[in-house]
Amino acid sequence: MLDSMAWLKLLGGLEAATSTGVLEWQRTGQPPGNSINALATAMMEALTRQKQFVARTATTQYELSAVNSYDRAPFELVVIELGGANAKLLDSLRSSTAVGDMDTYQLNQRLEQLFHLVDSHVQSPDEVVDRLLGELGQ
Amino acid sequence: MNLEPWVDLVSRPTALDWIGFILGSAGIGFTVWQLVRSRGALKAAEKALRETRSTLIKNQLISALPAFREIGISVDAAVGRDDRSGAQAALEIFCVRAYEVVSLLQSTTDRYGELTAEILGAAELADSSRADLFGRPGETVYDIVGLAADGIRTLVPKLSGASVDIRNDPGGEIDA
Repeated sequence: MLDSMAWLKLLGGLEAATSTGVLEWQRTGQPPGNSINALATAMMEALTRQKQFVARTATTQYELSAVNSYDRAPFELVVIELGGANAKLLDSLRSSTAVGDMDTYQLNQRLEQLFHLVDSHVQSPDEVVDRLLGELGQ
Repeated sequence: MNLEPWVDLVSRPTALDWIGFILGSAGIGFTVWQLVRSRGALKAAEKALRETRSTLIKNQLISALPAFREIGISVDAAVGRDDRSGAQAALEIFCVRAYEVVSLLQSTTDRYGELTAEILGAAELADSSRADLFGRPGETVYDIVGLAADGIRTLVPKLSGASVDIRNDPGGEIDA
């Protein structure tokens, strides 16, 4: 539905909103340490755990994730229109290997930038608990 | 404490006392024997469970290891065609399979520690090269994933060797 130019504009807007704190992202998805027999190394976790982030405005939900990797391409952004029980997929953008096309290459770059920006703005559940306990003097 | 009403230390034991003593001793002996026997049964059950688990892992490894040869061929073919999409897909499959095999190897034995480290190294390189396929527009697939493909090519014969080793292990177990 959205063309390359529209996606580039949207990605720019999401980056700005994330940087200024207008848009708050939360981390979701598979929790860490869910490895077979708890014997997986950190490297294996990096290969198998996925990072997923969700942010909401009054009418829209954004879902950003690294597909089949921990924090490497391909990345995917899904835009969902919220309407009570009638939420519907507006559009989605995924990194593409067709980087011979300059628009695709730029979209890949912006998608990756957004992912890392969001990643740096999201606190892990452990950090949140530590902060709350710190406020309680513990 | 007065034990006099319960223990008679003065009278000589009668035949009935001796019979009671012998039967009591036999009862205690029987109980101890039963405990030892049940402990042995528990150990046997644990051993059987361990063997079953090990056999299951062995079967999974025998099924998973040969796939790396095909994956290596797919990676090389994609590199030869300069096919980014194909290389990306093949490297992704390699990473998933590598993780699966490492989990299986680590959950059963230390015998393949060196091989496990090599698989993890190749998987890390494959994953980072795979991600690079979504950038670096002016470069060929060989430039981007050539090293990872070399790593997989080197790994495949070692995995084939491990597969033969595991298949020919007569005990059913692959524990050292």
